[in-house]
Amino acid sequence: MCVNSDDEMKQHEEVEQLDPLEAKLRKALERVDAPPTLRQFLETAIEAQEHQKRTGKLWFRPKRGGLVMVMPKPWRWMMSPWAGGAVAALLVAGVFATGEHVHRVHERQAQATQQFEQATQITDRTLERAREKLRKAGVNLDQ
Amino acid sequence: MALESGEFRRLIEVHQRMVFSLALRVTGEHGAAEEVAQDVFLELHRGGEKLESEDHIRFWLRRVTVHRATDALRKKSRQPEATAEEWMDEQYVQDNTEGLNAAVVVLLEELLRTLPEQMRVVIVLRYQEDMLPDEIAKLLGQPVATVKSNLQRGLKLLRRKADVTMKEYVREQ
Repeated sequence: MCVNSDDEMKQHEEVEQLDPLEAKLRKALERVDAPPTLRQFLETAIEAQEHQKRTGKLWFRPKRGGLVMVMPKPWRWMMSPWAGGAVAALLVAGVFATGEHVHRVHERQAQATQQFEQATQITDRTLERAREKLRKAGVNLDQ
Repeated sequence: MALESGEFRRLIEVHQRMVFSLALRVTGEHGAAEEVAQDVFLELHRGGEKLESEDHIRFWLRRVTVHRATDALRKKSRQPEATAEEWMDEQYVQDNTEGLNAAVVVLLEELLRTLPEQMRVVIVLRYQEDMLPDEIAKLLGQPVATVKSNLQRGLKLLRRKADVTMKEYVREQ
């Protein structure tokens, strides 16, 4: 049978027959008050959450002083012990990824330039052939 | 979905002694106990809406507190005595409940910290929270026989340590 409040516990002790050690254990293990700092911490956490919901701002100044940041849910992984390594890995991957991206852009640009030049050359040759034909036909293209 | 602030404050008021005391007796340290209690209540705030009744909330708080407190205990470099077995030898005094006196009450909380983790947890749940072995088994997710065995061995160990401690105390007087 589970007792829930301190009063219920005292009543239960009177009813249940315990040996001396068990009775002393129960006395030694009576619940104690939590320190006031626990309540203060939790109050600050509540205020910070409410502030964040109202204003959307991450930073919050509690009444007791100091500065609190409310970590949005998607960012909370940053508090994990492995987060530092994960961020470093992402940065390294990002550098390589960016380098790869730049390389590919240059490649495409070079291809486009080459294709344009080829097209230009073809057009030039075509035009020259056309001009030659017209000259042979007696058409004066310089006028 | 987070708990509404008013309800959360009410739950802190009702349960903070239980949560802190459980954390304190399992970790053996005030600082660690306070950190565990903070984490437990923050977790309650984040996910407490899913809990349906006061009994469910109480069960959930006890279970999460015990799990977090045992995690904190394991992370500490200082380990409780791993040599519990040597205290079980018959060379030590026979059970002598008559030899106990009020001074042992003061020592018991200290002696509890020297118990192996599993024995410590079941003794705290049994004598602080007044839970029966089958309730403790359900909370810890262990067989009832395991809980009873840890309870019996833990009490035996405590009794012997208390006897020895008191005999030394008397000798020194």
